[in-house]
Amino acid sequence: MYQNVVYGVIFRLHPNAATCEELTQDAFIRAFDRIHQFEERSSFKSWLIRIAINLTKNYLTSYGYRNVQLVEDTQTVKSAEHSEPQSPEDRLAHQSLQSRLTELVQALPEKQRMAVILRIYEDMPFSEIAQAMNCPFDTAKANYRHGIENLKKIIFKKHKELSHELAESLNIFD
Amino acid sequence: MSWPKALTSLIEYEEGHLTREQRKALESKLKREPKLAQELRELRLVKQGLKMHAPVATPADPERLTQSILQKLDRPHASQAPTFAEKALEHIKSLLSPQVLGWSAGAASLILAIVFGLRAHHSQTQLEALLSDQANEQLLFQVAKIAYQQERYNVRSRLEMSELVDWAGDMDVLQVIEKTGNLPTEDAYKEIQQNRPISDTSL
Repeated sequence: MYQNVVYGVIFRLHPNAATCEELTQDAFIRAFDRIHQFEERSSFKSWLIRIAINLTKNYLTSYGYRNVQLVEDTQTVKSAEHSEPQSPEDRLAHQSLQSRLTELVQALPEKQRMAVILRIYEDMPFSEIAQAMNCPFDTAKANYRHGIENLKKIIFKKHKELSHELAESLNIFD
Repeated sequence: MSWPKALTSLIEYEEGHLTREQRKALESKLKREPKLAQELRELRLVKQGLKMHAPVATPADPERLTQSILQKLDRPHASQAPTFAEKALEHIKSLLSPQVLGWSAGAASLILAIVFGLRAHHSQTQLEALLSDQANEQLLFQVAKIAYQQERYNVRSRLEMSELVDWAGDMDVLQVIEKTGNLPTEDAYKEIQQNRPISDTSL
């Protein structure tokens, strides 16, 4: 039940399939070993995701990652299949836009990136995000807000062509 | 309202965090201020775009990953308590499988915590005694299922969970459940503990 959620969160922090599998396994093992520490002040899911986040951060720190660089794993990264683009040109545009957007998210400061990933990609409520990030509710919201504001600024002020492509892609695939 | 505060309000608006009055005030402001309305359009574009173009991150082989996890969980326990480990892993397997019996995350959490909690609160001997009897295991899950259905799981402390496990070995509890469809009330439980016949008034 939680395997895919845990894997997804880790992958969005560090898009490398092999490492993600290892870290996912480690997260469950750590949860199993430390279940006595689960105090039910959060949901089990949030607690598990927090373990996964901490393991990933420790991994990235120990392997010298500062700002997480996008490492596309084409075997695993797939687009959300809301509406599958039809032509090869559309598919290429879709991939390119996805890569750039993912890079922008990856380039956010850590806490903003985390909040945006958990809110936008994992659709978690802020109460769970706060538990997973081990911070107050308002702090989780603030991190998300700053992350989204930063992304908006970058897309609409620094990379205007990206904003046009984004708008077009939403029209094309509607 | 300052511009930064207005932008903050837009995000709060999109997340559904404004009161009804605040929403109405903002919607009125959006009609009067095109620049603010443009900001909202851009915000929505960013959110929708991120969702639309989200890299879907799923394991290439979910079943293999599950098996790897289960193998690693099994390793430290195999030599100690095969009976408990075997049964615990079956329970964990059902939780990791997408086809968990139609139960919600809450019920799954409860079961998982109970299974894990068994190890935290009981000796190996107690665990083996508890789980060696298939009736007890069935009762444990029946109790947990009822507790979930009554939405009691979200207030259970670790101590209560331990008591729940203790109850699972008590056939009087089963009688109460069969009779009423509910877990025992506090009074009924006290009577059970004192080995008194359970009075109907305490149910």
